[in-house]
Amino acid sequence: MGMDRTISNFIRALRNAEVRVSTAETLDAISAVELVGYSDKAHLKRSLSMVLPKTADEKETFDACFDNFFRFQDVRGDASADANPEQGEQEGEESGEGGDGEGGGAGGDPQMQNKGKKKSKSKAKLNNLYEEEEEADLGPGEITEANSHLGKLLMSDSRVELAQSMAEAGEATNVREIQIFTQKGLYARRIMDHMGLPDLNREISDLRVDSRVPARRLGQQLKQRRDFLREQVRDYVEQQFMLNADVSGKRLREEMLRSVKLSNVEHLNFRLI
Amino acid sequence: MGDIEKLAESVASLQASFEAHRYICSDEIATAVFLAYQLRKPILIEGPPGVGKTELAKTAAEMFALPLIRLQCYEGLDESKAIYEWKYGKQLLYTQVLKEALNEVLGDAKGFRESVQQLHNFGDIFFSEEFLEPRPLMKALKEEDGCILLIDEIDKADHEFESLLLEILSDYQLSIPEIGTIKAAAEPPLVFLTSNNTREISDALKRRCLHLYIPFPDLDIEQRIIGARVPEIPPALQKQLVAFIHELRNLDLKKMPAISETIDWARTLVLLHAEALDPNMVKDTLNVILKFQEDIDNVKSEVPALTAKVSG
Repeated sequence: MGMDRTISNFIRALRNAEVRVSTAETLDAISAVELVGYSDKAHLKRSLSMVLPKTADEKETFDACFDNFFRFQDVRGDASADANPEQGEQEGEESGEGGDGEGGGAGGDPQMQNKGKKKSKSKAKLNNLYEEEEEADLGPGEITEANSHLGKLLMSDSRVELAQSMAEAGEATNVREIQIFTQKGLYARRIMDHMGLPDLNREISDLRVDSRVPARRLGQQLKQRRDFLREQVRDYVEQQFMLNADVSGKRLREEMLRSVKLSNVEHLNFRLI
Repeated sequence: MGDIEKLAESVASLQASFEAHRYICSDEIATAVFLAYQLRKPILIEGPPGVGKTELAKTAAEMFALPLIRLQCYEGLDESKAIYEWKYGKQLLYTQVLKEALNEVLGDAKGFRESVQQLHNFGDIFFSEEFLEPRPLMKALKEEDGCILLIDEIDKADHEFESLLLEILSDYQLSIPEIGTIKAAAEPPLVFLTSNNTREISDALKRRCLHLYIPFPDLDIEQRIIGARVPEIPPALQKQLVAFIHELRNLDLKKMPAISETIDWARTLVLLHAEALDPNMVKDTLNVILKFQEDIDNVKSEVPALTAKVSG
């Protein structure tokens, strides 16, 4: 079922990008996926590119769409799945820590399992974007309970609940209405806020200056998980954009043409002639 | 069929097997044949002339050891040439025979009405498979152990003809008004359609097929193709010749040289005992790769520079 959802979402994204896909072709695509699986992305792309797009233009759109979509797509049920470097990195980090390895490549929220025993370089760099200074990793050990709602959620290691909370926030912020790519950052921020980012940030900065080591340790954990959540939300918004937005700008153009006075258009055309 | 199943088990095994049959194919091509076999779907192959579209179907037939049934398309091609025809002569003979045996058939029928009644009761075979002359499409359906059906240059046939193909492509069956529906044998044919893009193929047809676009090959693949097709070619010449062709494809020509031209040229140069590209020899043999005098004239002046470039 999960697999079928992935492919039908992908087809939705294709249609949104103006590749015409019939029901028969959708069924063919499902058969093709059943045959080749999700594990070899290049193979999957080659296969689907013969089933779904049928003209040179459509193939071009398909290529871009596929790369975008499967860059972060949650490919459930195929743990060894991913050839994607970004995710590979996360996976490596995780397996190094003996977290629950399943779902690493599945791109869900592998870092939720992250017990934070070590920081990889990329991670440290990422943190620098948001934090003033690097502090020494406190390593494993005793840890206090999180207080804020989002903090609790992040520490609970429950992907399902986290995903649900993200979806609820998406619903509440009307992410479906996203239209142009410049809105992606805005929606990501709104969703984070709605999930309780301000409280979490306050908690993190309080914990930083706490005198107790277990509390500071919690602060570090929360920070890592917050950064990871940020990535997740960004991917979620990207996906919503592909599924719902006016990727080609066609609707926007039509909308504009409708709202522009016909006489003005004519004048413009006359001048062009 | 066991052999075929084994061959078509993976893209890699198909690719290796194609190579063993001297057809060097890209991952895309091998994947297309893999999917076509596994999903039982026809493949519509598009691409410039001479990139090996038809050759793919021929090699597949050779590889799978299946008969190749080919339908060459042209303007005005219709069902009597593509699907079936009534054997009119035999039907005439049949009526003659029937006429002679008429007394037996009618027996002691009295009056016109009763005679017609008798005729109706008599099993009529005028329109039956006995008198049906199968043409390529129907022949392909009747092959017991499957076959490769090549519908070549579909873009040359009329638009209406595409509609005739829809039933066979999606359901592997044909309907004949006088007889009914004829279904494929146990093993349906593996169908290859080719098009040179002289006109758009209808959406309805495309929807029923896998779509494979074969572009001109990249340098590496084309060199391997030449190595497979003209094994006696000296390595230096092989490299330069393919590089030269690739340079030509970058020029603004009326007709680009295709793989078939590269192969012809390689054979020609081997016959001339060439070891490497030489400007004079290239000039003398340009007509093998360029098919328009205009192109030949334009390229001639560039030959020394191009030869130097690919030999360097």
